[in-house]
Amino acid sequence: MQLNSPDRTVEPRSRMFIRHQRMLKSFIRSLVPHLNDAEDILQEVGVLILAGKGDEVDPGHFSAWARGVARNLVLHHRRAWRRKQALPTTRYMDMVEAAFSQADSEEEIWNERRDALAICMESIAVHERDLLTKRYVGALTSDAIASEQGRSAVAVRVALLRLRRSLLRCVERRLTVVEGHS
Amino acid sequence: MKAEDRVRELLVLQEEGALPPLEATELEDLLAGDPAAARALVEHYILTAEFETELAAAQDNRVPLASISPIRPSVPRPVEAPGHGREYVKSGRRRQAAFAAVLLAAAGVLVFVGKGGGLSRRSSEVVSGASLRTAQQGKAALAGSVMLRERRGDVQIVTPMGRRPVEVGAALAAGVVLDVGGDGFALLELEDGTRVSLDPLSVFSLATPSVPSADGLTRRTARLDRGRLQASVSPQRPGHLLVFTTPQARVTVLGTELTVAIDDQRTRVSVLHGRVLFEDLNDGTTLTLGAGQDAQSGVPATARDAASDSSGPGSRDAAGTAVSFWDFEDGVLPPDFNLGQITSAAARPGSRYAIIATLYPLAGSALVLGCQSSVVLVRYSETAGVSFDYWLAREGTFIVVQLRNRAQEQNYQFRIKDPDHERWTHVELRLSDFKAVADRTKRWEPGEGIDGVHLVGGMVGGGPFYADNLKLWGAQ
Repeated sequence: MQLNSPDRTVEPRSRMFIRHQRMLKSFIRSLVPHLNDAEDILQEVGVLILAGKGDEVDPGHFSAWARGVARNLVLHHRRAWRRKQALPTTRYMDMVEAAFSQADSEEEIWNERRDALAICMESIAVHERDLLTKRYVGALTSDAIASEQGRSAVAVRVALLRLRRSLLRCVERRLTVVEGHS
Repeated sequence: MKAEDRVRELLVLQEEGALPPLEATELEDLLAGDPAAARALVEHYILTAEFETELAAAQDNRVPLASISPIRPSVPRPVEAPGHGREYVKSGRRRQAAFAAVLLAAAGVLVFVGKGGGLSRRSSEVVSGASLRTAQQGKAALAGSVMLRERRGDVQIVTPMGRRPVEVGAALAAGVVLDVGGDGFALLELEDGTRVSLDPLSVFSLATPSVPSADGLTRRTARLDRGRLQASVSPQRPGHLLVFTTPQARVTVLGTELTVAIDDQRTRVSVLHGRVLFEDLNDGTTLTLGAGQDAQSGVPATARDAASDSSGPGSRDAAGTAVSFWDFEDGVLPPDFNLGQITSAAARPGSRYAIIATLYPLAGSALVLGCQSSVVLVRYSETAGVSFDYWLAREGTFIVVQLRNRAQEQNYQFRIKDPDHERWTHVELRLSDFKAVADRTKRWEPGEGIDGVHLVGGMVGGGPFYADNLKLWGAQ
């Protein structure tokens, strides 16, 4: 390990960071319930990488390394966050790490699915988009959305679940069509 | 029901922080037992991250400028320019954003950078319809440029053709210099929603976004040559950075909240929350600053409140040997210690305080303590050495002592492979036994300075790793 060592690897690592940034954000989100906390962690990881600190990283292990850094940062902030949110157990974190580690070997597949998702999202209905926006941009809980719309929280969660399923079906359809043409 | 379907149901609750303990255990069991369930988790959070990114981008593009929610300001509240009576507040979506703040103060130059479109008006100060239309039209038409949202007093643009006053709603081409007079004030908005306010006697310019450089990153540079500014920086797109430069320093942000200040001689940065990358252009020093830390160009980076502490560790003995010694007995973390915390938990006869190693993300599962100074602590000689006392919990299987060779810009390490456990032990090491880490062909040369010392040991989640009476000695 090196601390404050000369910056010999910043360029390749920054490129790797860009390539893995979206997947890394997904990983962090799975550990941190609050979007803004997750964004702060992602940013801290990015700054550390840009600063070129730490061990040299084998490109083949970059994503696992970046997840390790992110996980340590989550642990680092855990005490401060405990007051405002439920935090994952070590066992859950291990499960998440294993799941994303498996996903590393399917990077191209996930990129294709992400691209297909972006297209599928263009076709969702206005009220569905509004629901997603409230939940994921406004950071409203299902309870808050429910009270705003005069429905139950369970109904909101079911709607979110159906919408997710619908989008995943759309992704599958698009990828099937693309593969059929290739 | 398939395991992955149940996982998807549970994750909708979990991502809201609303998963009851029993269901949390069920989720863990499902993830442990079924690869398809693990795949469903990855898929779920990819969707979540995409929703947050794509929908936020779409929303930012269609929200009228005047509809940004007026919200009470949160701490840290930026310093206001005298006289214009404006209140800077955060938009609804970003109000919950964690804050990162950096203060730079000297000779009246201040930069404030915030996460999100954070500069807004009170509800009683709504932008007029005319200026709003102008603003919206300007925003839509001028990707890559900056728009003047507000002005007071004398505000002029400076081009090779001369100077001329500039009006609200005007789009300023990248590269144009904006000069704010002694009675002036200007509020600018970039196309990504980043807002910058300029105080009187400020000179500011914004470069066009760079083409991606060798590191694959696109940088956009905002330059402040004189005066003071406050800014609220929107989260940057992947691969994009906003860089604030002054004659002495460069601060890189990815989309965070910070303040920065500079003068002709120095730039001072104080981080209140979050992290930024600070570069001292005088000596090339690069620092990642976290909450509570200060940095100033040309002087040591120190912890807040410790910057004024002039009592350094260095001293000289009668034989002319330089000694740096820390016994931590004042109960305060020495200024240059960037890792570790002072603790009384390890008090023993003759010593009330010690330093305990803390988590450092880049150290993997080990704990770290130590200091990084901007000045040479001691210089290498044949008799140079380091000593310390340590107490290591049984989980720790090694201790690494790391010294930074300033001239070679690399670290030297010595590994204690079989340390004692759970009792205070004294160690003395000769620097000549330390090995270079990066370029292993290198050796110490007499007179080379050492400006950092770190001890690595213990394990995250295990017992503590304490150290005390850390001493470095060598040539002056």
